[in-house]
Amino acid sequence: MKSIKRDITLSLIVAITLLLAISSFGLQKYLRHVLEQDLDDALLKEAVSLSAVTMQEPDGQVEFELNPEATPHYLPSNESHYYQVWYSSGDLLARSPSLKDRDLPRGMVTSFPSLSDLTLPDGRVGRSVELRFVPLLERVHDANAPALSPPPAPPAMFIVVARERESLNNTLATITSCLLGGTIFIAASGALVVFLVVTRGTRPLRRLADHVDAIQPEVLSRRLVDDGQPAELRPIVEKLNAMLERVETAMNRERRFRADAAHELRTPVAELRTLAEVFESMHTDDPETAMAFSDVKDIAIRMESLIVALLELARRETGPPTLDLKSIDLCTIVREVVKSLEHAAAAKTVVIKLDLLTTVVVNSDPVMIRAYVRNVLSNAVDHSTTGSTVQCTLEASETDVILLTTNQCQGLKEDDLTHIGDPFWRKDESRSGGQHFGLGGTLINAYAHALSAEHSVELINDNQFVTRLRLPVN
Amino acid sequence: MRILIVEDSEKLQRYVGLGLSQAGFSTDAARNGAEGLRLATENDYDAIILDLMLPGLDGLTVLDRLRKAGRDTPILVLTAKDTVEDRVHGLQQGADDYLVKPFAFEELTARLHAIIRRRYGRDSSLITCGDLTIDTTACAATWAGKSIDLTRREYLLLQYLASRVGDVVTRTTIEEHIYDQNATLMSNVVDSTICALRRKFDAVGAGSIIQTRRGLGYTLQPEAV
Repeated sequence: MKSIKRDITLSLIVAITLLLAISSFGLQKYLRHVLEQDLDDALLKEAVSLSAVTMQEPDGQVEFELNPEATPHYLPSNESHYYQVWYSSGDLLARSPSLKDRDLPRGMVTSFPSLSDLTLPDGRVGRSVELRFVPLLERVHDANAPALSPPPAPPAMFIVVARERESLNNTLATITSCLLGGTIFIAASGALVVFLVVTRGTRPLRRLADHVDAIQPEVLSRRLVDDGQPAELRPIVEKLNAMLERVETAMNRERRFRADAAHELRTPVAELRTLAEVFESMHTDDPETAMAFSDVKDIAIRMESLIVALLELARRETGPPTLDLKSIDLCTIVREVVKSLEHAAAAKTVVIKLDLLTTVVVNSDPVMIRAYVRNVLSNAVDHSTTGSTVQCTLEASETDVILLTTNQCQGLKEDDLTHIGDPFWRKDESRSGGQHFGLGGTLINAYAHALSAEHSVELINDNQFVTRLRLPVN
Repeated sequence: MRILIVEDSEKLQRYVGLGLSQAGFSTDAARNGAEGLRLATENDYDAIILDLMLPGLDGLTVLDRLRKAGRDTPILVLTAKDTVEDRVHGLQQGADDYLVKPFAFEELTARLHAIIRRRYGRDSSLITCGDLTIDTTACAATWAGKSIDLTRREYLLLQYLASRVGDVVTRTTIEEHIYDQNATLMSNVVDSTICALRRKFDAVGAGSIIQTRRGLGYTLQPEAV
């Protein structure tokens, strides 16, 4: 499932980590460059200094005049600085005491100065600069000295100055480790901070969700509070409140319509029935007139049944029901409904047999359950063949309860089963007899749906009609 | 017993009124909530049949105002509103009973009798005062098992006195409870009815069961027998 909080948190953590990594890498690169540049500058300066002490005598001899005591870093005991000077012919002019009798490597260099890494004679990693120079002429300032022939041109000389760079490399490694460690630490800490900040930042969303959740269908007049909401949520709150307003208006309109429809439908039937009953009782000495009013009364009762069924169906179909969940004993409800149907069953000599446990407790809506059971059992009694038995069984497991009702029937076919829930469907297509409108099956389906229960019907051996309700215990 | 029917359906009002008259009640009628409230406040009815969906002032408002005014008249709500919530709401507002339209007239009269009985502290449809027994369902009276042939007016008066046995009931109160507002009463109608009742009680050997309290009214005293 998509999560804004998760997306923001992950994005921020990745971004911060990337920024840190890039910054650390850049810093490391910069420091490396600076330190290496320092080393190179030092090497070059050293090479220039050493080249400056390489002088050509007036007689053409090249002398390398470096005082070892003034340059202790070239001593063998140090082994950190090295130099070596060659003639362009390749002959050696001078080497640092630290080299002893070893040579510094020379590369095939065409441009000078040439800086490069090298492996020092002792195997350590080093850095060297190779410089091509011409030694200075040493001039003799003696007015009495005889004039000599001009000295030969000084030869080109090459000097290589080298230093170990392991300490530099170690420094760089330390810097890299610190930067890496710092990056990881800051990234981890940052991730935690980001998580906490985002969690805190999204708290208004959770509060808003809780407030919305608290608005129940029964109390649609409640509105979300606008004060104190962050600016980003205000438009959502306003839109939700506007939507609640529309829903409340629609539901109130629906309620009014249902109340008005009920009133408009029920009142004339009540007038008809009352008229019929009162005048029937007033004409006990006139059987024909009394019979006529009795017929009017029966018609009114039939109309009443139809109106009640239609209003109930409309109520079930206008949206998710509001169930009043209670812990109820299903066996008690079944027994009470059976008792209320005894009279109707006796009129058809139909026997209702119960196979129930002592108690079966479910968490459900008692009114809806009773309506379902009543509809199923009264349908079973009404449609049973005269003198037959209606069997009602209740089975229970840990999760479900199954209510099975079986009755004997005539004329029903397997194809008819798919129509039983259709409004106004009746087997008798002429609709010429009986008190049924064909709404019982529709109502039963509506109740089962409201109860989140599975309802099914079955025809066994063409004469046993079975209804099955699987109801969750919770 | 005097019943107020507050119902905007003219036909229903007419037939319920007719049926209740046949059953031994006297009835007044109101077609809207304001008129019903006025009549209920001005008169002491034994019960009120109150529709909820009324023009102007609705039934629940009438009910609420009556109860707040301290009127404890038994009220049976008669309405097309049939949900459990509507019933519970109506009963919580102060109704004594609730009947959904359409209804069996027999059930209406039975429920009326029941709420009136409760008002007068009775738990049965029979009112027994010594040897006098009044069956409020059958609208019949017997003395020591002997049937007393009463006119409608005589029965209503006797029933009212029996429901207030031992109390001194004024002439005016009797008139209010057994005659509807449309009745044109002669000034001594109660007295003449009392006289007729006494004659009939004498005929069955009941003696002076109905006593006069001069300047106050009448009382039914079974101990006097």
